[in-house]
Amino acid sequence: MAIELMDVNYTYMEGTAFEHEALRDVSLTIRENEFVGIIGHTGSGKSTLVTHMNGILQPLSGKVIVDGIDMSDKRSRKEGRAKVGLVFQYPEHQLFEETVAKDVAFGVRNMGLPEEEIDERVREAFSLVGLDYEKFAEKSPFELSGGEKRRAALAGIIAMRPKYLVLDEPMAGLDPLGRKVILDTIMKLKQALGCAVIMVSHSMDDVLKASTRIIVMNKGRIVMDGTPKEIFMNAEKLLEINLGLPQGMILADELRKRGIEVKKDVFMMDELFEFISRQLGLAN
Amino acid sequence: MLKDITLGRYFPGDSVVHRLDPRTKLLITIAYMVILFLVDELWVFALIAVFMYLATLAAQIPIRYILHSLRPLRWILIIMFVLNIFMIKTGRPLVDWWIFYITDESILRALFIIARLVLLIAGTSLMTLTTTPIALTDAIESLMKPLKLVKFPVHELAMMMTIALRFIPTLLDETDRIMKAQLARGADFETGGLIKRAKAMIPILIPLFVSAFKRADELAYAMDSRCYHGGIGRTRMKIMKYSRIDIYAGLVMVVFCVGIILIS
Ligand SMILES: Nc1ncnc2c1ncn2[C@@H]1O[C@H](COP(=O)(O)OP(=O)(O)O)[C@@H](O)[C@H]1O
Ligand SMILES: [Mg+2]
Repeated sequence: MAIELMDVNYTYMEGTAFEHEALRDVSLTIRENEFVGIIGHTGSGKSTLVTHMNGILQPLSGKVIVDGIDMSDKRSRKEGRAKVGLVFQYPEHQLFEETVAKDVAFGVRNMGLPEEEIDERVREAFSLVGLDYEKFAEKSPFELSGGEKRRAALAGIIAMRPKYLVLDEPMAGLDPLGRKVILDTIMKLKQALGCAVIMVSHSMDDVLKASTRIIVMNKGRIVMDGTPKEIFMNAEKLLEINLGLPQGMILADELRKRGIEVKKDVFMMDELFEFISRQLGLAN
Repeated sequence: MLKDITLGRYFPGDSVVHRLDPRTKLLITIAYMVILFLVDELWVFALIAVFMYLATLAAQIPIRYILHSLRPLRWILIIMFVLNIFMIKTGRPLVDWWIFYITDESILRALFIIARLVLLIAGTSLMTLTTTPIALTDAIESLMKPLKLVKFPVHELAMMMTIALRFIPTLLDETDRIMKAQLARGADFETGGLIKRAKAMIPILIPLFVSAFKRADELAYAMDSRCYHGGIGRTRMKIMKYSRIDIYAGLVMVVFCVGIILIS
């Protein structure tokens, strides 16, 4: 069971003066239980890619298959879409109900579940994203702070219990603390729900911290695909397409420049922390 | 999803028509529209169509873009055609069967009205395809300047139009984004009766209004903080100037208009 993309091509505004090729021959298989980080420059096609995963955009050529369901088929698409929970960038812009609880329930209600189950799932989603049900359920979504709005929007998708949780830049526009809270929430969600997570991000560090697999996009193509170690051992290739390096790598490089022997595959922040502690003789 | 809307889309280019002063283009288009309503014979429209075709060639715009702009109106055109065929009872009957009573005159009149409408849309499309909306509002402001004498708020009107035009694509993009987000939450815009479909619009309209008001607020602050205080004493970054091609284009149009009036 997996999300499979086969030779997917997509062009915006095809046949007009503004035609723009956004995806070129993208093939990709995402299995259950993976945590996939997608990085790339603005305009490299990340959002276009993830919007194909639940069939909202249809490829101009190629196929998208979710757990064996062909997403180009209009009738079965709905079933496939229920498996893939897609949280768009700035999801707080989609809130519209009178109360937060009603808004979180919108997706589940569209699935046609009985009221008790809706209520149960909504409460569960609140607690999973770390929103206090008693405090927020009856508030208007427009009264919440930016970070709270985003968590409410996330809860709306969580309540639908997707097998694959797809997040497009979930931390965009938040302050450092807000970013950390959301990233921790996402990592906890994966543990609690056992779903696969596909996360688009700008931040090397966030992707490195959370992912078991990293996909690098450039100009509508997948240019790298592998474990974090594999990707960052190939740092030259990242620099070639002008992507930054994670802070751990920069730190390790600085240490090397100062004559301290750091192994090439040590660049995760916690590994470095341990390494430095040992060097300083602080390890217990 | 909203990609079919091409009305008012600018087609970038550097043709003679693109380089014409927007005021010239606006005046020529108005003259063209007047001519269309003066003509009362079908065959003259053929001449005008040739003129339109040549103008499109000069603008280096693919014909299919002009045809594309007719698409949103195809049902209106078809209904107009059918209505006219049945409403007009004068002339020599061609078909007289059951409720169908069609005369030669009714067919001619129907073709006549459709030709006029198609040419009207084609002409205005050619103008909007070759002129940016901002240039067009500048032209309107400049041409309406005399109305300032009677205290008509020309500048304010032009500024409102500029802002509206500037935000139409933004709002369309926004609508597209919100629609996709609600689709991802299982919203269904395509099935059900009229009431269900109208209700399905609520999850789109509310976020759209919220963001439109927010944008309006931000724009007002941005204009305020750059000391915008209306049109008095305001200078322009781009000053419109008539050049030689405007004179030529004007002459061509005058000859064309006089010619059409003389022969019809
Ligand atoms: N709705 C749209 N219409 C036209 N072009 C678009 C649209 N959305 C995205 N694009 C273009 O497609 C390219 C890829 O966009 P996107 O997938 O959003 O990139 P990313 O998420 O990596 O920043 C960009 O160059 C963008 O300008
Ligand atoms: Mg994006």
